Amino acid sequence: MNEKRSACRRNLNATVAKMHAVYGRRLRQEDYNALLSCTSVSDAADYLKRSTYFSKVLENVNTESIHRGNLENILRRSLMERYFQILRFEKIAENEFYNFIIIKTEIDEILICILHLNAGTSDHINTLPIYMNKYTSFNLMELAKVGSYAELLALTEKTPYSAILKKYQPDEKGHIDYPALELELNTYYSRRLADSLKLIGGETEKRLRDFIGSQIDMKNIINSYRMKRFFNADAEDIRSRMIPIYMRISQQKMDELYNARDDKEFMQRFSQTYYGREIAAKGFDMSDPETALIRFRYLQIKRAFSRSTAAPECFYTFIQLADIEVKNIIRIIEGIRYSLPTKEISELIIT
Amino acid sequence: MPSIEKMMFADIAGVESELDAVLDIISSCGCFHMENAAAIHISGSKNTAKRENPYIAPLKMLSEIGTLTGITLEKADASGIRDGDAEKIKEEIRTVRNRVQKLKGEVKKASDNLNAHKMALEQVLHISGGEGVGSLSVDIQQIFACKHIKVRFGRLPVDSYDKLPFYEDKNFFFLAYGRDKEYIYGFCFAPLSEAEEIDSILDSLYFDRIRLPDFVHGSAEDAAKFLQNDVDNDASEVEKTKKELADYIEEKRELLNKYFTKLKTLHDTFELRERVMMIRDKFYIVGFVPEREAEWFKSLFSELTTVSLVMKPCSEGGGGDLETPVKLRNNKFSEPFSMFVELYGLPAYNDMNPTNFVAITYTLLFGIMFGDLGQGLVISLIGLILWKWKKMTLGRIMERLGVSSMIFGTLYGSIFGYEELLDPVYESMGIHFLPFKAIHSINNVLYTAIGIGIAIIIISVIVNMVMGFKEKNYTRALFSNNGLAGLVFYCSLLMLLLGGMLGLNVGGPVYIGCLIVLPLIVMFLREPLGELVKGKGFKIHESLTDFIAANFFECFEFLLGYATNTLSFVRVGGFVLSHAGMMSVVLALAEMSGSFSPLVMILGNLFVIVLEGLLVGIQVLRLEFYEMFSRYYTGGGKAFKPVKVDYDEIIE
Repeated sequence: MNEKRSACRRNLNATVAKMHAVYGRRLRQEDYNALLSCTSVSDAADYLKRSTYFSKVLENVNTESIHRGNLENILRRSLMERYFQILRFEKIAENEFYNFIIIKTEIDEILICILHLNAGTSDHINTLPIYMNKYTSFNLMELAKVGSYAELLALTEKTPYSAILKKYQPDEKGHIDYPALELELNTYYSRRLADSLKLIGGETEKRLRDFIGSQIDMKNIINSYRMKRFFNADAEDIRSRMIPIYMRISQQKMDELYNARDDKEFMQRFSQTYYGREIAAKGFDMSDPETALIRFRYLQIKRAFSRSTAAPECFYTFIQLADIEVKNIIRIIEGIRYSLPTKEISELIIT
Repeated sequence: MPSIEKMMFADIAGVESELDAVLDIISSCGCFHMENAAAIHISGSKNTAKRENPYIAPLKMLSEIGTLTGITLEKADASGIRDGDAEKIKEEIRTVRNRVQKLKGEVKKASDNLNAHKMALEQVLHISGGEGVGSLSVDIQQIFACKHIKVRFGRLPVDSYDKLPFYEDKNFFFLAYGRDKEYIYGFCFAPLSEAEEIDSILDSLYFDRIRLPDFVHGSAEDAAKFLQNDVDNDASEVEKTKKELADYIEEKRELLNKYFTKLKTLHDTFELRERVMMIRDKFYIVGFVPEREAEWFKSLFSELTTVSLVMKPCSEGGGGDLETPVKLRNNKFSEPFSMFVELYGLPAYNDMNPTNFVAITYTLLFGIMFGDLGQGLVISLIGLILWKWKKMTLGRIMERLGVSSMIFGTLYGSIFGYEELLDPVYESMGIHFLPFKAIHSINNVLYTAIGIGIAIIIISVIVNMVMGFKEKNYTRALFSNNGLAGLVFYCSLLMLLLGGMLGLNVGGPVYIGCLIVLPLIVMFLREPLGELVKGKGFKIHESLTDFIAANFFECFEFLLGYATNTLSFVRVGGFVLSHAGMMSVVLALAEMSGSFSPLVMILGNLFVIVLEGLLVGIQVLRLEFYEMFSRYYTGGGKAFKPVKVDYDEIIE
């Protein structure tokens, strides 16, 4: 443990500098504006190839004929390439903490597989991140071929997910309780991430714990708000679907939110919480609370990245920022593909 | 004394039929700051004259032409085009736009053909082994002529290729013959009966199908020859269509610029209607005109019979509640320094223009802190280049700062860091000792710096008093820390300290009581005393405890302020010494570097000019804003912005 910890506390200033340098090449508002003004997927791909740092990954791509799905896959893969590139830079991959993306990918793919099992479909292969196969604890290609829950259990038998999956056997109709399983897997991810923070120690551990905890708080708030607003779900139902981790908002305060009569009362109670006050102080438009929370969360990530000089904190926030950027581009590309009005697409962009 | 331009408030009224003519005058005269007439003319049925701008559509077409052809439309002489020609212009622009669209379509079609053939050629080259891994010596048409097998030719993304094992139970196989970083190239073979299903699988794997032209036959090498020929033809077609487009746009460019200029003028003038108020068929326009141009402005309306123009000086209440805009009036020397004043905020209309004071103190302080005859010359020359070449206002400021630096450099005897080079000149004039030679006179330099600071603070306080009297604000002029009370306190305290240092008998209970304690009490009671002078009685607006607590801390802050602001000027002397210190390092390095000594001197001097020039520039600006402006200047004025057409703005 001590050895691991000292490895985690190595001086990684070069990695931090590298991340800041890579972040410096990020897409700016003018790039998003230019992408929004594109009228076809090829135009957008061409802009990315000509005018952004994605030119390298799109180097051999013929933007004239590129398929939207393929472009999205290339962008997602480039995110992972960036991730591994930084891990390799000062060989930090041996630390459990830095593997969070791999764990997240495994959980996401298992959940997609379960959705397909429930729906009786089998086109999981299309979106499968096959390039992650050499890093995952089970074979992704085999996961795509899974046709029953028993096959899934067999495939994941030697992984930490086995114990959780075994608890959620299909009912007599073959249906798997997806929401409960999703919550448990996500909770497992959050706890494993929190455990790996112990290897970091010191002020950085404290800040990261606070930061990751806040991210979970906000995720819970957004999800519970959606359940209240769109399904008017009762407190028990909401509570059972939230990750039971609390950082800047106590369990009692969260319970008060879940107990709200409707979304209006939810928002009124939310405005009294730490996040409600912070968001109001930043001047975000609370008429669209979901967007306000998402934008506030983005602001927190950006701040944490720019003010930190500790590699684990920089790394975690850098990956989040890169992920948001790729998602922004994908939203624009999808918007263009389905001819959404520019204004509507721009509202989906987080900057 | 440079000042603020005196303004006249102009109130224009007339019948609607002459509105366009009036707006035309306003947008072209360059001296009218337009306000929203609704702010002055109150009426129950007020409407603006705003209508849908008819010039947006043709301007959008022009912008589209610009985007399609990559040209930037610029201002041109459009005097030959009449206002009434607008409809004709619109039609002509539409014709040009349609022609450009057609030519652009032809370019695109030729480029698409070229790309398709290039891609096909690339594939065929892969097959022939030219760039790929294998070589296929069969007739390509024979492959496609299979009766029971469907053949697809193209490329798969690398990720998709890795997913092929997923479909191992399906009846198709992919024959790869080459690859690059992103794609695997090959043929896909499937039974005819399952072609539809296999096509759908290939689609889901983002298979990029490449269709070979019908004429491609024979071996891959033969096909490559055919395709190369096609690619060459396509390339020349692309060039031809591109040239045709370029020639056409070049031919029309001058005309388009004229149309753009005319339409943009009409568009911006029409936009002014938003600030025009209509009451029935009469229009009302209000705004400000500099007093010096008022008569000329008035004469512009002489031919408009229904238009009445009433002007009233702002100093006599013209403009009512509207805030009078501010236009600074500076002499040639101080003009560029208005950049710093605007950075802080323009003065209010009735306030003082501080540009001259800033210009003098900034130049003086910069010269003192960065005194070097040679480096000053370099700064002036760089400034001159920046101004002439890039039109940067900072360049004009640098010209002046460089001259000041040269003057003080001469006084210090410093040229490019050589402190002794001017000694023979001075000795020939009978001067054997320069009192401000930095290295030898550290105390002189520091005392002088503080002396300059004291003088500047006293001048700032006096300016504030003058402004206070002008505004009839007696709290500001007499009782504040930057008023008479503050001045008496500051000067008396300095005399006391100076007397102590020189061993003079300054002080005594009466001196301290009247000149130090009394002004302090006046500052403490400045607000109620201000009320008393206004004739409103000795009033305290808050509770006595709050008043005492707040004013105790404020007075404490005033005392601290006097001390810190005065000592702040030590930096002036500090930089004189640091300049000499840095240059002595450069000289020492040059001595050590033997034959490279001239190079080290040049690089060292450049380094010092850039680093120290920047630091001194910022420090002096800090002294201006913090030590001086905070004493007498509030800013907050509204800039005078005459109506004009913006030819850089493109309507998209």
